[in-house]
Amino acid sequence: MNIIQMGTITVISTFPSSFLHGFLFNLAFSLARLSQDEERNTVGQVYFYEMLGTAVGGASLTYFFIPNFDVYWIANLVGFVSNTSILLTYASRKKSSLLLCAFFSGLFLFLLVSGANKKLVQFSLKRIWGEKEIIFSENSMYQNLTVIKNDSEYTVYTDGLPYTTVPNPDTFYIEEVAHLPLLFHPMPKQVLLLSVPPEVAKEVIKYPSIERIDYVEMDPRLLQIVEAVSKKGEEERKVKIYFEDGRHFVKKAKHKYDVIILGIKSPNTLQTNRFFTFEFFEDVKNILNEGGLYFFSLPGSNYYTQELRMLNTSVFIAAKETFNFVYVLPGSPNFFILTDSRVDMSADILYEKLSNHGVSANLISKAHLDYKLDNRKREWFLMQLEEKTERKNTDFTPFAFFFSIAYENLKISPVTLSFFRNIYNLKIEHLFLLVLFTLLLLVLVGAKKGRSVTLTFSVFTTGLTMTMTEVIFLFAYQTIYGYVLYALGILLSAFMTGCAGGSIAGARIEKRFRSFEGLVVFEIAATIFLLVILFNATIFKEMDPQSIKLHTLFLALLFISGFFIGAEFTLGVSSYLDVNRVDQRKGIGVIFASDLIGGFFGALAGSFIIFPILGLKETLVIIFVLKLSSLSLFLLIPKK
Amino acid sequence: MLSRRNFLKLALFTPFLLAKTRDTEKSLYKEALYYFRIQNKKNQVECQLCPRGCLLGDGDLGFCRARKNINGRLYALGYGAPCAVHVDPIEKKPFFHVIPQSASLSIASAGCNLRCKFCQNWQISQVSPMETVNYELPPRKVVDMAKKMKCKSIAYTYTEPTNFYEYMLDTARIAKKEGILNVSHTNGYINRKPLEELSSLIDAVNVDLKGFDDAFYAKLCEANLKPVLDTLKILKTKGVWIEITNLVIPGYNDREETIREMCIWIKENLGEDVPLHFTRFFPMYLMNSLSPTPVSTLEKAREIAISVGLSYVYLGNVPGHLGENTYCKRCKRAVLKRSGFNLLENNLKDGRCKFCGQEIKGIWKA
Ligand SMILES: [Zn+2]
Repeated sequence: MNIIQMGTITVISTFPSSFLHGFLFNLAFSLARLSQDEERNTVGQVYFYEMLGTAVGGASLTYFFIPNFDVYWIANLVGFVSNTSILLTYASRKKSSLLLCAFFSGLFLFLLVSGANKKLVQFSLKRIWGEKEIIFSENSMYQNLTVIKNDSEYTVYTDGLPYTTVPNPDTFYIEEVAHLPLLFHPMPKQVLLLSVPPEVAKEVIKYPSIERIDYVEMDPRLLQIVEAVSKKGEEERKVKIYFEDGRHFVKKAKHKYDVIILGIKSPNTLQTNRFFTFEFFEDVKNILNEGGLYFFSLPGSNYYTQELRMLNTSVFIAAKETFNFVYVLPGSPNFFILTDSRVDMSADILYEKLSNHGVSANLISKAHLDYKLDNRKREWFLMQLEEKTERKNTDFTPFAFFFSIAYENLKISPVTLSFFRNIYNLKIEHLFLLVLFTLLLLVLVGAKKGRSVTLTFSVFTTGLTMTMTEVIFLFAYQTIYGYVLYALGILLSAFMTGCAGGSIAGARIEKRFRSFEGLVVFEIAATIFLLVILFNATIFKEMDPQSIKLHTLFLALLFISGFFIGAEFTLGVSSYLDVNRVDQRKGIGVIFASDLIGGFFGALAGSFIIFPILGLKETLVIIFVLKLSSLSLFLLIPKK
Repeated sequence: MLSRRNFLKLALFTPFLLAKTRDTEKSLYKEALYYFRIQNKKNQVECQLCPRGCLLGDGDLGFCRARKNINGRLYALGYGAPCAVHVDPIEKKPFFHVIPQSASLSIASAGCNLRCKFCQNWQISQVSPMETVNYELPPRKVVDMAKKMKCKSIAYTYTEPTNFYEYMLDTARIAKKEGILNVSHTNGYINRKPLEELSSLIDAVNVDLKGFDDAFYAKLCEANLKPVLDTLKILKTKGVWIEITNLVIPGYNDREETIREMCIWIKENLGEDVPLHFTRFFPMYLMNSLSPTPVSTLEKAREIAISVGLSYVYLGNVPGHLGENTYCKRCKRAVLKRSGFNLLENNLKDGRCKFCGQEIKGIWKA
């Protein structure tokens, strides 16, 4: 499910930097306290080791474990290793915690050796799929692939959602997606199929006029699996299969096409949104022959909720800006036809073409075309579009993505309060006001409480802004490269290594200089860093995605974001202890909570609301303003 | 983007020129039929329209979200305020024995008295008319629109028409006078009295018989089976044309034994000539990770129904399948050949099989 996918991204991106590390940090810290007396140094050390561990873990997870082992096995191994190491390190200390560690180590070891993880995998699959007969389940580089046998049919699932069913697919979808675009074109010869189910290709092949079919699908395993469960048909020389991302294929395509068909049904992830954006429409336009058309579908209905309205409108605007004509055949789903030449929307003509091609279909008929092309219905659709909006779906303002998610969410809570719909109207001005208001409040509080307010807010906003930049970099990465999941481990490692590096740097500085001054320096550096990103945001679009430079840039940016968190955390703790003569645990607690809460809200608000609604540029503006506000507190709140 | 001017131009040329309104608050409330005030209790009412029998305090919304207690009176909220208005082929409802290939003006206002996890129209069935953007379309206008758009029938469909009972009743009354058929697609969850009143106006009803055991109804729809069966029997005695739709969901209501029981019940209580549509399930709404129904399952269900003695058994959502055709029960030849919404052959003459003269039950003329 898409909300779950999205949630996963959020959780994964916040997890190391907030909950998990929060938990491990506290655990490690209290254990470290048992072994050492010099508590102050311990903070930085523990932070460092923990972050380093996460970084190494992330990298090995990506490159070694996930491709080779199942999730439960990995989880058990991690559990076993971490427990055993704690056990060995602190073997001579407290009895009770020792026993607990020993128990868990034993448990994980048992699970590892006994092969119970296999049973766990089976069990969790059962939970997801019920009593269905699971023929096959594996994680490819891009997604989970599962095949379920149902009587004499096989349904292939991608990430838990039905992708196609053989030998009896959803005829409505398959026939409409294959035949309609070909019938709208006067004489289709060159066809490009992007991520369509194989059955669509089988329908397209029926047209004798077609000379070339290029079929692009990202995941080779997916086609292998569909083919394995299908009865093998005769080899079709016309179809040339390319295993790569459709977006990249279109960008560097050497051929031109008459008809391009997209099989992705909804922009409900950032990966899929890339096929519904202004930028992609422009790329598509470049590889269309004269009279060529791009055909895709979007969610539709008998009734347009506000979410569905906005979703369709944002794509419609983007399409209208690129192509002379945008025709929509409303239904569930809606079919969009983008072209620079006028298309005849007459059912009679289309039907005549079908017979001229000598093609027979089960669903596509004169009556069906009459219904599908109904003038009144098409006009009615245009009236459903949002009139007063300029929200155009682009790579870095992914409105269609946001509203797809919002639309899906309606299923879970159909009775939406209009309150939540207010979020749709979020403008950057609202966030400015919020920051300004917070700032005023803090100045008032700071007048009484002094600099600890400044410190706490610095660490909080660093957690918030740097996690937001982390999320934005991950989003940008996904927008540019497509799938982010398999690269997530290495990207997060860069971030975590940054955190670890930052904490070492913080500890060094703390020893040589005064922590407070160190913190101010980092605050200034962070503000400049955010300003630099803000003014160079377009660099993501301009650089060649295949170049090693862009990859390196992403890793570097994530490293730097993490670096600020690590450094400010360490310096924040010691400054806080300098300013307030409190118990160390309490000091760490306050600063740690600020970091944690900041990081959590950064990931949550950044990925669910601010970035999808405001887009890249405005999100970067608000991030910068936030950091600037915390920097200004150093001037606004005097030393007490 | 659609500019204001284009919008107006468009509006002038489209018959869908309907004033949209959110203002259901005043004019579009209508006092409900079939409820009573509870004595002694201040402002409480009991709705008697459907078997739920909601007990509503002042300001409460019914389970269906389409009826509201305002100061001790029950009001129907969607009256004259449909949120969906479309022209569909009658086959899409589905009706296979009601004027083939005719257009049907289909309307719905928001709300439903069931909570099916596989609802196709969840966008409007699971909300209140107060939450949807509605057209202002009083009964008279519905009928005028149907005439203007050359529709042979008005279909009360998409959501549960029982929710907009008063609206349906008033519209049907006018339509009947003007010679337009009234058809509805319902879950059958309605009480005897209101159903009997409706029966005198409505020509054809497609009832969703979603399963044939209480457990299914309870688990997937928050309802139970008996009221639906009662509805079918009442419609039969009132002489309303009935078609039945059974959406076959793999693993939930596809047990052969249950399907057999259902078919036997239909034959014994409604007669062999009631068309039965076994519809293929596709991942939908909250059940979007389920596989589609195997066509073989549907074929088995059809075989069972035929073996039990039902005359007209169809497969839905499987375009191109032979199960879409109407076969003569005597000579077994295809009287109506269909593929999707398309009628390929019509061998029906005055409601009889062209080949052998056997009567094929249905409404073949307006
Ligand atoms: Zn006959």
